[in-house]
Amino acid sequence: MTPSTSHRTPAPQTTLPGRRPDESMTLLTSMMERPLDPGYAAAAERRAASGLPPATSTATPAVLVAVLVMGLVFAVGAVSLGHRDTTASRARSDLVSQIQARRATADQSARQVQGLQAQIDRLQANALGGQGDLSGRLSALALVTGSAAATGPGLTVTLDDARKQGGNSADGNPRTQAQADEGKVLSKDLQIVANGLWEAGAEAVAINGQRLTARSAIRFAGEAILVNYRPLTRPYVLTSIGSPDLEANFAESAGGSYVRALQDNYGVRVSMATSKRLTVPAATSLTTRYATVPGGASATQTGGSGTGTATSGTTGPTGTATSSSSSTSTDSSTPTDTPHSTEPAQ
Amino acid sequence: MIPVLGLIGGILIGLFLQPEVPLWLQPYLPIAVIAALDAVFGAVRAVLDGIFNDKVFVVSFLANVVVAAFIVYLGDQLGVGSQLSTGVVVVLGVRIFSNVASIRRHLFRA
Repeated sequence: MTPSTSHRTPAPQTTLPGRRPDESMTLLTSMMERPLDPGYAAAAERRAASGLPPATSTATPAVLVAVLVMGLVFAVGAVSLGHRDTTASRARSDLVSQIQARRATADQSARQVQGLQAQIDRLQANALGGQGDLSGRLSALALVTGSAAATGPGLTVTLDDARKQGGNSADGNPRTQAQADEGKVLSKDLQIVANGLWEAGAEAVAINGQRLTARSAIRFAGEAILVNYRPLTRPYVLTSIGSPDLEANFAESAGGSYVRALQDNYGVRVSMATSKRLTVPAATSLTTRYATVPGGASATQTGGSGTGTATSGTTGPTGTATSSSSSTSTDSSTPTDTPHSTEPAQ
Repeated sequence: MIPVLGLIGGILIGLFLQPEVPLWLQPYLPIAVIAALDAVFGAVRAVLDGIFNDKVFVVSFLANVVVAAFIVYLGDQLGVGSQLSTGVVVVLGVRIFSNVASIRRHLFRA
């Protein structure tokens, strides 16, 4: 490239006789050996030839302007490129914040419902002040229907997805998975375990803090499990209140053998713990809009006698307790059969 | 002294005004930053060598920015924009490093 390194036209004043050993790398050598702009040396030579000092002042207006522009470029580059986010990530964070806001709203509404429910209970107790048998019956029904929190000895069953041997875990993107992950806990598993708990004699069951009532559904929405229309995240904790030998009863039931099969065949992580004292929260939404009590009794009252008979475990729902969403509700109050009216499309 | 103050002043102006960079200009900003760095270190070295020239400084900065931006633009049109900007960064980065090494020899004799 430069005449001094070419063997065809050896410049007479060159200091390098013959070929340079690295002649074939002129691009690299010129880049490495002459990092300074050769214009500086040329300009200095010209100025020296005309009798001026080789260097000019560094405080000329042109330099000042150029230096200002450079500082601006540095600052603007740092500011605008430092937190560069793509459209996709912006949309994602928007969605995340929307989800969080809505979830917070829902939680707040649930708290409000619980507060109002407590107020109703208080007023009811006041109104029923004299009639001790009625208020006792009311609280017993509230316990059974799930409109009141329940506490007592019981069993905690925890289900979690299998530890993955492959790359795509339960935390991975479900859309990229070719087929459903076998080690994942399905809504059907939770349905069967919940039914097994009822069968074993549980008197109150909650999944991750969602109380199962006569109107609860355990179902799939996409890849998420919904209970009472709230999406749950793993691990799934089924808290049940019942007799101290609930664990033994559950192990003998169909649910217990199902859980063992899940554990052995799919690696689903299951753990059980019997506790002396457990608490399951009250259900938040127990209103009925269409079901009424036959005979003209007030049906708006929560935990009325109509729903009471439906959940006390006699023979499943009576004709009056048909709810408008019966196709999506797993009736967990009938323990003997295993109703999967919500067989998830997998 | 005055160039250093000018640099700091430019940085402060940028930080305070925080001008919005239009979207089409954003791919060229990193290249401009690297070209400016190269010009600054080249100028410092020229000052230490005693051959600084204001015209060469300004022209070399502008030419570096324009050529680097053109290469990136061309790369974008050809679909290899990121590779070509990597190339620009490598070349200018090598120059920056060897200029800094020279400055270091001047200042610390090491």
